[in-house]
Amino acid sequence: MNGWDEERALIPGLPDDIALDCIARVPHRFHPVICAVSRRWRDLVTASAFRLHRHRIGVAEDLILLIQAQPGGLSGAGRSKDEFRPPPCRLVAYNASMGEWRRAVGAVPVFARVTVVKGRVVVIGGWDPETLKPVGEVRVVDPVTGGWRPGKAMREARSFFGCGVAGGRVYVAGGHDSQKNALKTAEAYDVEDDEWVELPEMGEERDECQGLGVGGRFWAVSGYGTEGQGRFDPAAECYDPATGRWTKIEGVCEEIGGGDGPGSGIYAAAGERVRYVDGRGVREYGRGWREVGKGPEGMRAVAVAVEIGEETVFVTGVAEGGGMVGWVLEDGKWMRVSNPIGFSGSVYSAAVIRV
Amino acid sequence: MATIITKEQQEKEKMVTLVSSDSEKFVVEQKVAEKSHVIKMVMNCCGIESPIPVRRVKGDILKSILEYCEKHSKGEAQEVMEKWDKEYMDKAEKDLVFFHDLMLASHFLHIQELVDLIAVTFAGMLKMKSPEEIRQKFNINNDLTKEQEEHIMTTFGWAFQPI
Repeated sequence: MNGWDEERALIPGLPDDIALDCIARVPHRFHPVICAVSRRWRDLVTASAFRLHRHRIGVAEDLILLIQAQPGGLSGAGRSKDEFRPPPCRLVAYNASMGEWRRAVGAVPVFARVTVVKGRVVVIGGWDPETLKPVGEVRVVDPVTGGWRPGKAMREARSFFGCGVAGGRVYVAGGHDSQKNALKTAEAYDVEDDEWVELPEMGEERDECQGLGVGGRFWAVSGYGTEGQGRFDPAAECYDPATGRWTKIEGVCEEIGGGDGPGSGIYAAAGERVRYVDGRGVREYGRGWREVGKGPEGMRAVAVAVEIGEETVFVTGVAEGGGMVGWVLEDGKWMRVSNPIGFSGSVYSAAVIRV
Repeated sequence: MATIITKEQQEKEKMVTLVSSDSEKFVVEQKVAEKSHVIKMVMNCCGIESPIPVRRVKGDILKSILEYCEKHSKGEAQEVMEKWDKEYMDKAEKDLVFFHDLMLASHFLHIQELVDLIAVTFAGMLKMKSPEEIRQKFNINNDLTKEQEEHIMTTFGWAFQPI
């Protein structure tokens, strides 16, 4: 007697727990392939328990997901100025543990937002690549295969909105509608129920605001109203699901935004902590801002910033001399990430998942 | 007059006999046998005077495992060990039945370092192979229907090649 069901074993001749220990050590980039070995392999590799096991034995990899413009896609030849088309955008995965870059097959809406909630990757909103109208579209991406299924669309199509994850829900707020009206509306998405719920309106319209999950609460930072084109509000609004209300936090970006607006730097949140990264340095918020570290050398503007775990920050930005470059802050030091040809387009949104 | 025992002699005295499932005997230093958490516990409670039966492990496997334990009880430099481990695994993975037995025995004897080394090597054998190659090598029955397999293949969203 072997003591295990030979017919159904993951690997004939080995008990399943030992087989699991081996399969879990296969690097993430091979997971789509090993999914196709058998039913049990497929079910194992795509299960969230598999991810947890990889984490437990210390072989989990950090995947940074980016919404990135396809390089060379800027306004095609022969087009007049009126026909300007933004470059098509792709969902890109940068594996920070292995240094590999990949992209998902097919385009995503231009300027879409990407976020990670409950182990799933969610791509939200943006512009239809053909009509250039804001869409409410939601895609739920499987981080193992890179394939996706449609999720329920947002109640309201919007673009350039703030987006963040707090308390296991995705929040979206502000941005503008198809008439270019800045929005004060907000909604929240539950990926398991595939449902959106409407939230109370914010106090102000906030086009191009930045969304942050801070502890269990959601912050919509800065942004501007329809009338105040480009005049960024120095305040943030904070939504607390416990009270169901927005609270204004005055002057969040007064000290740091300067005259440049939020375009020059970017906010990143992990747990209760809010940080701001720009060319000058890394600042941390808590009754005003204080500098906690230097910025990446040679960076002119930051496009996106995500926190990996507690200590590491990944940013992409424009380098001196042009071109989109990534940096990783680890142990107080910035390291430049090399991005191969084909992954040098502008980055509009980022999120991180451990796989 | 007290006899002076050198360190070497002291070590020598701490020998233990292990007996495999097919009655092969191995006399090794205690510190070598201690690499196995299970044998260590047996030695702690029963002493090292009488031979310790390792009933679930055959002689050829036990020999190979003790070879590993001996090398790993010397405290050599990391680079030396990494090179040695690689050669040890290269040899082991050539024979899949032997490799499986080695894996089971390292689990049974609870030698965590070896368990990890084998798992990493095994994972390496799964890389860069097509599903069919994996099935053939490990004798895995493909119970996916044509449609299911096609579905997995066509929903592979991650592309490696540049556009």
